[in-house]
Amino acid sequence: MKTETLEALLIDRALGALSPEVAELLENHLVQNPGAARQADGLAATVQLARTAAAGPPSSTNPLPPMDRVRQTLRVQRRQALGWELSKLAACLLLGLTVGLASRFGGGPVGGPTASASVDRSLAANDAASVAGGRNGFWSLANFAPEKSEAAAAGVRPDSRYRLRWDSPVKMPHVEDNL
Amino acid sequence: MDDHDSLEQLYREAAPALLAYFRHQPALTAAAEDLLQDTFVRALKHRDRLEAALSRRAYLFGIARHVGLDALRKAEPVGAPADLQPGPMAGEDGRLESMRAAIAELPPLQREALLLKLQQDLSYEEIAGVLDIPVGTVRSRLHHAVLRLRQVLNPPIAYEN
Repeated sequence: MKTETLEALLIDRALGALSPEVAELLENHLVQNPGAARQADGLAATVQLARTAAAGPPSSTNPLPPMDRVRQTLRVQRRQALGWELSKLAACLLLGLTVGLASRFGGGPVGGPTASASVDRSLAANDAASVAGGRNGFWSLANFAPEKSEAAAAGVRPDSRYRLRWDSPVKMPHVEDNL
Repeated sequence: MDDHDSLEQLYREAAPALLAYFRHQPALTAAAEDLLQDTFVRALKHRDRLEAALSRRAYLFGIARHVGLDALRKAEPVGAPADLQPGPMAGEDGRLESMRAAIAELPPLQREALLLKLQQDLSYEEIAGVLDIPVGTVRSRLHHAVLRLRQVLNPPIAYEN
């Protein structure tokens, strides 16, 4: 048996961590090897001394604190945790109610008159751009039927009288009456 | 046996060892009972984990260790454990005193594993559960600790085959 292996087994033996089968085999080995037995005794004495030194002062004779204290603390903590959860739920509901009221009556922290006006102006600008695009853009009527475009320019909305008709995706569209 | 009784039994079985575990640490001695209570409160908050643990004793020691570490972080540093600090006690021989000094001078990880073994008589597997490390690491730390103690106290004995 290797020295390191034996030493490890002897420490396990001294600490009482060997299985009965291994312990029996080791005891047989120690009977046949006095040197190993002396080493085992030395380690066992070291561990026993360490056990005594680590034992420390005798344990207090005070009785154990009652288990009821633990239960009471648990109850208090659970109550506090429940209260905290309910507070969070109430805060969420309050926030939702505030936002809902604000959006319904036009006031409140989200949006408001300034934001609404800004959005309105932005939409108006988009409309203007799309109208301009409708007259002069790539898809304008003037690109396909200039004569009809003129009529449209005279005051009649082109999209009410004419429409573009697509017979094939690879051919140009043609204009027809929207009747 | 109902739930109340089983809890009471667990408390009666485990509380004395846990109380001793806290009392062995001088910074925690005064608050040992509060820490014991805190340990059980934490354990019972996650009752399913306690019930599922391979060793309920080791599980409780694992929680106690964390409770103790939390308390130590808040407490003033006090050095080595008082019961292991070198210093003669009435009616003691010098070897015991030297052993206390040698244990106090062990690397903290080795000392922690050794004290769980010697004071609480936990198995390697239980110590591994408490410290959340592999069993092989526990064995290695214990072996190094014992060899170091032997070297300090006794000259090495040559193995004669």
